[in-house]
Amino acid sequence: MVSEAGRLFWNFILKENIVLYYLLGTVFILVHTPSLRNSYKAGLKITTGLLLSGLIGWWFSSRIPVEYTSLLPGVYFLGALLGISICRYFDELRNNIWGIPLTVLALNPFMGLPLAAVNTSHSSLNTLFAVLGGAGGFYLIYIITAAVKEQISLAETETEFKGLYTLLIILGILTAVFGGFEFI
Amino acid sequence: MDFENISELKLIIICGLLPLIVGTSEVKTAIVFFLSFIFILIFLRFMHRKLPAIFKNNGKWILMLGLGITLANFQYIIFSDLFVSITTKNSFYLLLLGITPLLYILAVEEKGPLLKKRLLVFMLAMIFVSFFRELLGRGSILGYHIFSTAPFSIMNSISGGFIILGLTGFIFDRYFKK
Repeated sequence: MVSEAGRLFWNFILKENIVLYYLLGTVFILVHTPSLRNSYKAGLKITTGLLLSGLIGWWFSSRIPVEYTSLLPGVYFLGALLGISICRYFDELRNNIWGIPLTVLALNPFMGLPLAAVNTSHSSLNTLFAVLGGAGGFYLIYIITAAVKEQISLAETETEFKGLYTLLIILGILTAVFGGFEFI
Repeated sequence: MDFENISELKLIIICGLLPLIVGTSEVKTAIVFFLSFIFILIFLRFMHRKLPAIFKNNGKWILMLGLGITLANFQYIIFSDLFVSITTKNSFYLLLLGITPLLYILAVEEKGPLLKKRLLVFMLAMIFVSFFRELLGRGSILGYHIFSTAPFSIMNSISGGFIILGLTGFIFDRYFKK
């Protein structure tokens, strides 16, 4: 059982990374990541909120009676709002982008992490490890994306290659690497 | 990299990233995802117009997000009877469709040519990406086999989705600039 929990933990960090495999928070990370130097601290703040919402989801999912499991998405939603409040307390997620608050973008990983963790694991301990791995994986990709964005903007190439599309192609290659080239 | 002032196409690609990648492994899946998206959008726009004025700023958005998730759940229940195989494979993402940022951008958008243009570009991108992903990743189109084996099996995976979407962005950008 412990080895299964460990497998899930590493899966959620690498092979089934919540950002690259489940696409939870990919948009948020693309938009929110500051320069690499600032991303360590900002990423920690966001990951703290994410971990909290994941742990709330895990706690309720392991204790809620079977006949009330249909209420779980609502519980995850409330947990996500609490996690977002923690981030706002740390002065993050206070801005708007494209006319919508950053909170809307952040809700995707905050609500999706417990949902993905509960969906993949069959015991409470496994779910806990999946949540921890998911939060770790999120932080890892947050830092990597900040580094990639910085490298793209510094690259000596035409302006049209310094944008979103190059970043998407790099994320695609990164997903293949993290997944161990499973498609081959 | 400035994301504040990006082109319409980039806005649609980045905000609709989830359906554009997970919903485009096949053309049929893309159609179901697009229909689900439209279903949620219609109700969300209707609800947004009927929201009482007392809900402002954060309150309004929390209520909108709650509605979006509920509608996604509702849509999943309806669509799971209509498209059994597709909804079973993508149940997780069909539920998460309710928190796609593009949905909220379009829900608060005033009715007009911009809304139509954004929806059209999103639809074209879904069809374009799914067509090439199915052709290259599975060697088929709409389930009919064109190649005996998949020419580029990577295109069937999430990483292929990212790569094709990036390339689609480059192609669409060139086309629209001309």
